Amino acid sequence: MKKSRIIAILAMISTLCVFLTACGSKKASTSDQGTTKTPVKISFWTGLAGPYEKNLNKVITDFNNSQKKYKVVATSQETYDKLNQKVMAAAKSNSLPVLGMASYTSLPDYKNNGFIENLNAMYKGMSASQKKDIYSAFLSGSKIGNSYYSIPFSKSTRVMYVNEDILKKYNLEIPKTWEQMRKDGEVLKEHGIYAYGFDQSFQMEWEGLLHAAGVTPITSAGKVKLSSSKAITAANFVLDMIKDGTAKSAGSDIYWTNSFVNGKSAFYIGSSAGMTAIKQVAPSSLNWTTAVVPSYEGKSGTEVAGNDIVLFKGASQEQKQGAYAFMKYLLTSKATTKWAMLTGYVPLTKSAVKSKEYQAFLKSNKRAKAAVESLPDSFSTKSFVGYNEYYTDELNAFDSMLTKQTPAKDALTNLAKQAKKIISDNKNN
Amino acid sequence: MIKQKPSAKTTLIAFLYLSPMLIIIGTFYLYPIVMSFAMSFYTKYNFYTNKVSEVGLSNFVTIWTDPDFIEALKNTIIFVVGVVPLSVIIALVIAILLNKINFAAGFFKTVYFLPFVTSTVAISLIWQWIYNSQYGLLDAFLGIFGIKPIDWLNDPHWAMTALIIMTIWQGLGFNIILFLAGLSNIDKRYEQVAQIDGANTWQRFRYITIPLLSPMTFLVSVTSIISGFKVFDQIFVLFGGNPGPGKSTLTLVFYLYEKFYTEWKYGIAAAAGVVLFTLTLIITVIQVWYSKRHVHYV
Repeated sequence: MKKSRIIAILAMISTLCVFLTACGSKKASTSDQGTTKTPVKISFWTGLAGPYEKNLNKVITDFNNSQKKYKVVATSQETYDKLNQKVMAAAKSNSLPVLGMASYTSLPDYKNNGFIENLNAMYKGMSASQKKDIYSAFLSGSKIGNSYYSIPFSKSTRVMYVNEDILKKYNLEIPKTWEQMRKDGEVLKEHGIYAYGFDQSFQMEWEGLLHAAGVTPITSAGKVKLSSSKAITAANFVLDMIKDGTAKSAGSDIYWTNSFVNGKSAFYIGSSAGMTAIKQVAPSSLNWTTAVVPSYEGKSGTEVAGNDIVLFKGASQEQKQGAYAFMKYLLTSKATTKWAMLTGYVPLTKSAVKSKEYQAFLKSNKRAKAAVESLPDSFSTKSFVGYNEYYTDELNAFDSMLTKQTPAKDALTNLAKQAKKIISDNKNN
Repeated sequence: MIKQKPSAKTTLIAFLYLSPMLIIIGTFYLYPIVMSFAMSFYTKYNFYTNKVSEVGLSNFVTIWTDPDFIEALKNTIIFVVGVVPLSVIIALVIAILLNKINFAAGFFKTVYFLPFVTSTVAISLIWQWIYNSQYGLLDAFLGIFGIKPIDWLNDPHWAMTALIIMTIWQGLGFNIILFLAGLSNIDKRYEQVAQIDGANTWQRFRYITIPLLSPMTFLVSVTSIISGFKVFDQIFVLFGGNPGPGKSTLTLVFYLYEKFYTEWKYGIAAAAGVVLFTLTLIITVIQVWYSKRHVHYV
């Protein structure tokens, strides 16, 4: 009896020790630095999964094979939501990786919280022509003030998907302007077809309309023009189409993809990255193509979306050098062309678009053309500290217009108030 | 061993036996709870460096003056009131029916229990299709009776109802199993005696089954209310990461999630957590107090 009790106690103590050691053990060093033979490990967290993850690994393998000093190891966090949560937890526990993907709109918040390093040293190492080669919309998203904090990576623009069968049947042409699309809607509505289908919200298209109309909703100086008359008019343009029965939101479906392939609308404006999903679900009998988003008030503008790559704080000097080398590699014409061809994201540089390889790709993939043609008129939205909070409010404002029929003027005036408060609160902090 | 008087030595041994669990509870439950309470009072605070520059009550003032929080509180209460009584009643009825039949009872028990062991994400995705206003099964079914299609997931007036229906369906199996366990514990002789005394089915149900099942009813309602207050996953998936059309299914935990993960307002999120904790505690205390008067343990 006594013996068994002693054994039990010893067993408990040893279990406890194992448990405590496991809890208290220091995290394994993330780098195998210091030795000359083993390459420096550059950890890289992504939000990409499935085929995207596979294709990213192909590009990473190319980099790893191109030199012997560094080894980039990507870890997929499956989704961007999970990635953001993981970054938050890692920042709190001082265990951030070397590199990570991040939306360019979160850069000011990341910087403000001391998560990321500026990349001026890396950009300084690039020639003026190399920098000029990168599309300005992408580069402007990587900047806060005069400093660079990211490199553009998985980028998409807005494009218009077109159901060619519907156009043929009703003798219509691809609209060049929003006005034209609205007129097409009048014809189509009698046959139970919408002209314009959009994802859950039309907030990105609204920002595109504002850009075309020459309005910056929130300037870099923090001036808020969200409720200006032009902003209200642009929102009302789409809301009127919805009221008319010529436009429709995907609502809880989130994406209009399924409705588009089922012929519910002739046109669908969405992300160029959504093409993969459309290809997967579109029946082979459906004839569809893509076009540049129609112009508004004589001008075009499509908002850039997608993710950048940031360098987190805490990396060693060697890891930083490795991170710079990898980022520069991704910006080379060869790497960005390969990445764009594999995934459907747009190439980051003008030279990549002009490259023989990519031009040949466009010839055999005509639907990829619209995204590239949109690049000269694309723009990055101006982000600021507290942008994520503002973005939630912005989506709520549009949701309220769509589901509660809140007039655009009221919703946008309220949004402007919220934006002003967020900007001033963060200035005071 | 049980009759042994407690001494320093026996206490130490007991503590050692308990220590693994105590460490786990301490690390993953108590410490976060204490930290969240503390964080709810941090008004100027760097979450990442743990530097607190100002302490006060302003987080609580902020949430109580935030229309979204009030909306979340209201929606949570509507949700709990909508789900708990209905799910208890339906589960009780089904459990009694299952208890009466011998044929295929095991099969039905499995069928009812399946949703409970299926992941919430999978369930929500399936219900997304069921509720779809264009291709959904539910609207097609209602159409047979001449009911016009309802846009369950996009109409702010119906979104909460959609959520309640799905949650009741999902939790039914677990409640049925609990009630079946409760029913099998009721001594058959009570019913037989009542039958001899001439009690009809309703009287036997009302004066024997219900009182003797009350401990289980109490357990089911307490767990349902607590899980009702914590509702989040179903909403997140059903409405694609949004709090429903026009925030119609914004609940307390969703509010907390948005403040913490999207808006990075840690103090406010913690304050919302404290309110949720207090609310659940108050309701549980009331239930325990009520159970002492009305729950009959045999």
